[in-house]
Amino acid sequence: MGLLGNSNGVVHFTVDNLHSMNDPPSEHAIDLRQVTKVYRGRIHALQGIEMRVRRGEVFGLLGPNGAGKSTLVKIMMTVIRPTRADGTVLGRPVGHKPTLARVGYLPENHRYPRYLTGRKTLEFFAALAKVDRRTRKRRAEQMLEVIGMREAADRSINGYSKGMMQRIGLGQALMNDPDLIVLDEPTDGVDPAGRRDIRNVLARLREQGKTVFLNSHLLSELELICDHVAILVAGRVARQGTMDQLTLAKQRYEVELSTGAAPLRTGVLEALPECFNGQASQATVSAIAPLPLPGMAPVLPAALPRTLDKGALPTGQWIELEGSVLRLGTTEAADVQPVLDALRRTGLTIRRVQQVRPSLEDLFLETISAPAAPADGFPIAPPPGVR
Amino acid sequence: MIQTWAIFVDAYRELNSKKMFWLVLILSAFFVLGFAAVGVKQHTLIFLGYQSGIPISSEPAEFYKFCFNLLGVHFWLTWAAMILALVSTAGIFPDFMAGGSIDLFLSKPIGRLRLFTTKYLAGLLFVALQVGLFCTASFFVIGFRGGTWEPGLFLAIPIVLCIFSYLYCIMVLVGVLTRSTIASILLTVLFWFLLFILTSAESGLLMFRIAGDRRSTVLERQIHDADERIATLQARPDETGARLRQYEARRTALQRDLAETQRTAKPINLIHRIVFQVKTVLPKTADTLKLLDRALSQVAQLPPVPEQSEPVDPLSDQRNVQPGDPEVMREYLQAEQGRSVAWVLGTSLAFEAVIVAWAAWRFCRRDF
Repeated sequence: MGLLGNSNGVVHFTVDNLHSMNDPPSEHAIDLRQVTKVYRGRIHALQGIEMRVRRGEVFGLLGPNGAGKSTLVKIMMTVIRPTRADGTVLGRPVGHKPTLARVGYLPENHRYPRYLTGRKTLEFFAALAKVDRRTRKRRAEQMLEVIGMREAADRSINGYSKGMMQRIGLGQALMNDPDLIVLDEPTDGVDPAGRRDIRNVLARLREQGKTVFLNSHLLSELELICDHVAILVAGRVARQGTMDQLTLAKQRYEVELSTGAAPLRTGVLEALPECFNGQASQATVSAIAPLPLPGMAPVLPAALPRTLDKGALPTGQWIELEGSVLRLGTTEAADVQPVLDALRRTGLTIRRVQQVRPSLEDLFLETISAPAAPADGFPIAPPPGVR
Repeated sequence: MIQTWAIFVDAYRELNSKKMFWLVLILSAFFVLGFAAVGVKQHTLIFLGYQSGIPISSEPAEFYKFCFNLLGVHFWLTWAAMILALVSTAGIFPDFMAGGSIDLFLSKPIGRLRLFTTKYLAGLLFVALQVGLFCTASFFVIGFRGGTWEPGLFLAIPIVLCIFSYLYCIMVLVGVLTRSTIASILLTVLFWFLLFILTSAESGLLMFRIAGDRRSTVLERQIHDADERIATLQARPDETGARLRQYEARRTALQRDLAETQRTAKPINLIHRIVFQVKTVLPKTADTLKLLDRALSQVAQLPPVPEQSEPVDPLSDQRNVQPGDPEVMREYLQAEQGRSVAWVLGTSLAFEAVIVAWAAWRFCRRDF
């Protein structure tokens, strides 16, 4: 597929790149196994990473500083030599140089030669990616339009703002019409309008069947565009899967009840005897409460002992009551109706019913705040379709 | 090929963007213009057509070749322009290997070794362009003003390029190891200075060694003459013995001198041998430059051979042999010119190859 027209800001692709026809058949654009990097024999930056990115999806990699994200990306791009890396990138072994002709890469904190213009920068890096002269001239013209840099195309990049540099960086990553695009902090330094433009470009790339691998700190950006995410903590994949897979266990309905004259807890337990079975247990709520970041003192106690009644719905899902909030571990509205009916029959007032889906940020903070991972790692969600 | 060409074009653009490149080029142009402004007419130096009154014994062609070699090559290209070239190119590898820059290159479908080699060769472009332009301009000046077309001048391009590359390889190695431009410049200049010291020491020691050898030879000949005289006198029946004793005393003195000379020569010879061996494995900037002297002056400029004198009486007071004596100088120059091109260039380029291989290995193995 080749990137062609753009006169009205719309990216079109045509089949002018036959690289992909030579691919060994593989479902995954990236299939990493046992990726390990040990610096100086003692610093374990990556500890046996297992990661799969399907073709045509947008994959987000996130993790705290020092988690090993950049190391992983650099290993894929042959900037860093792995201690061990099995698996493939676009069907070829990790480190296979010719495959990089089909990969576009935007590094973090990139530095382009200051003596080049925006246009020459695009053409130069396209030449390094083995794009012939005529094609790179044509693509540079189109790409400048796509990234909104036509006006400044022939100015020295020495005078570019950070956002403009980022646009040029994105442009050079796409100049070889790659099948896989690896972007390290692509929206770094870009204003909100520029971020939206970049998001739109990425969305169009996905529509055209390109695989995008994103490494970003901007969780809201990732949440908007990623199909799959992986969270790296201390050189291990702590979590990996689609947004739905990762949040499924935490998706729930919340029912907020009004505290009337009657004791609320007693009312609920009476209304739903088959759920709570008369049991009440006191527990901490650390899984729900916001947790401090590692190394930071908590502003509030993270887990105050509170009364938490736990039970199960007749359909098997969990249910719990904490204060005036009743939580139901289901994503089906139908499962909630009998509960609401029972509460109303008891005379309790329902103030709010809401379906709650944790954000990527919630997931991220929960993951990085969790205690140190055991040797065999954090739970990893299986690929779609495999349960 | 697309990638290699792109890197070379980029190297040219990089040079083009450097003020230093243009500064050196402008200074070279001034040099050539100044070169064209002077001339020789009727064995007198003329400047911009005006007679200066300074007598010049050589022909115009020889005068221009002398000026080109001494001022153009020895002073400008291998000294002043060389320093400017080192300063200009010192940042090539540290900048190339800076974070955010190297990632862009390594992530392309080009092997690290090829990337390193291409970048290394592209770095030599600075000197190749500068020397090429300088030699071309000088060629025309000598052709039009001196009346002789001397294609041998273009030999200065590979020779100066070789000299620069001996130093450039050190700069690249330091750049790869430290990623610091300042460290690259300082250590390279220090290395150049050490080479200069080593070359000077070797030259001095060689001169003393030749002087010592020559002095020994002279003393041995005098002892031999004295022996002959003594034998002749002893055979004469009318010999009273006074002259015989004089010769015997002289022979004893000469033998003492010879022993003393040989004793002094021993450590000098040893040190010279060590210094020469060290020099053999290091690049030879001065010797490489002398290859151009050899090529430009068809006949080696050696002092004339002293006429063979009649055997002198050993009793006469002979002058001691000194390092600066013409015959010592002649032997010294012969020894220097006797060093083959293969030895001078071969060992120097072998050193460069080892250093470049080390830098390339480090570049290929390291993480960025």
